[in-house]
Amino acid sequence: MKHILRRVLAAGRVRELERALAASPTADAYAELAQEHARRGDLPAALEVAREGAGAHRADERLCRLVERSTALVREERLRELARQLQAAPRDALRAEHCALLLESGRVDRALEAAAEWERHGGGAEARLREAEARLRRYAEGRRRDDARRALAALDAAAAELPLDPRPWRARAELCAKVGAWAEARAAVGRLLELAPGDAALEARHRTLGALAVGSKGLDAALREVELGGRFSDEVVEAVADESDSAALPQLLARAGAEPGVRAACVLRGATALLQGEKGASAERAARGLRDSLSASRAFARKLGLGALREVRLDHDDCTTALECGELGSAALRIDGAPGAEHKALLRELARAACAKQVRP
Amino acid sequence: MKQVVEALAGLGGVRVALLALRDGVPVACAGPDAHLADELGALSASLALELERAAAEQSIAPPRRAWIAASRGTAALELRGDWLLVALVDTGAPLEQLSPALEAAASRLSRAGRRQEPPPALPGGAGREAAREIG
Repeated sequence: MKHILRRVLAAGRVRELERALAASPTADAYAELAQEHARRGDLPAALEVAREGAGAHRADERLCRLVERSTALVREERLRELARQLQAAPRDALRAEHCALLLESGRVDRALEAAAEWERHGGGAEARLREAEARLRRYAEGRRRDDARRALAALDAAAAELPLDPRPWRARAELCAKVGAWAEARAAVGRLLELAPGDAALEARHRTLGALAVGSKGLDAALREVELGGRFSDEVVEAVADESDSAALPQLLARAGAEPGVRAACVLRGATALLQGEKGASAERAARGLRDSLSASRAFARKLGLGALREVRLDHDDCTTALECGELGSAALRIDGAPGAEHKALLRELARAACAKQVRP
Repeated sequence: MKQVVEALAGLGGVRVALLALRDGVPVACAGPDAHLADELGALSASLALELERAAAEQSIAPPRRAWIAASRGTAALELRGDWLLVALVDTGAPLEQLSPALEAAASRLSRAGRRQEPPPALPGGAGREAAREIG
């Protein structure tokens, strides 16, 4: 009785919030209605309202967070339901959805396990394709050669079973182009053209890859280079910071050096190191030491399968070295004692400037 | 030692906790990813060596602790005299409780190590005389 009464009251509250939203479609009104749906346990409705609100108010962080949270909750609910269904009556469509949702939620290891189980139960080429997808995701994060090789082996096995399916060849072409093995990428696109002759986009891509393939490195060499350098061939042009950041780098370094407690500030990018706080030979040694610490930490993270390095913190007896790494450059601060919030903000700002499109001295 | 490592592995988000010698040989390991012990020990020992070399180059003291945060997890390393204590943590796991737990584990291990050490020999046979007096 109490439960029914609560539901009736909640339904009344939803109607009231819907009317308020119709009268004034503000971000707050959308958020309140979405939260009320979530409180009632109606997650799909909450997601729908949050999405509509985020579409209407793109800059509103609260609505964006609600969309993310509702999407994750809806996905989790579906995953739980799928687990139940798979126990009761497993079938290929459910297994495929299970793998896809696990990948979507970032649980790559679990997706690999699900694909392996599917393969054991006669999943065949579809299961291998899911395995390849999971391994490619893992490779994109960790950039270990072994993951790429296993993904390619799974793609080859799937292609052998599905000779008329373009998916394995498309994935192979994408991987090869990503690592800069242009000749292999061209061969894969050539195979796609055999499956879809006359496709204008594929023909254009084939021509482009043909031009790049002249004298390009082999797949093994390209994979090795990516593992060592940690960068895909297409990432050099994907710098995200704006140029005003890079122009402010000298001022930023000077500001960092003048900050209380900061012993040295450094920006590393390519073979260049800009350092504030040390001079002469000790500056050179400091820059070399920081670069060595960074490359050792990067190799450690990559070899352990932890993915791309983001931050390093080294606690010494009397000081702390904090490093933040971006795609194109890194920044470091050596601080007396533990770093405070202002040091972290400064380091982030320096790292963003180090990753700017063009570093002006 | 095993208890210390197991307590560390019991913290939320810790995938593996490892105690290894400075040459990377695992002494005790616990956690869901305990099969990584050999690999983790060797890589941690190599990293510790590199970090100490880099610190010497900068003329600063060697690091006592290192946090390596990457996109798919964080590694926390406690670098003490003869051994390394390493914890691998999932991305998004709270790290606030890991720092004091590492500190406490390191202190316990240091105390245990000191208890097991033989008393230092005194120069010039003074040890024998002292032992005779006590006897």
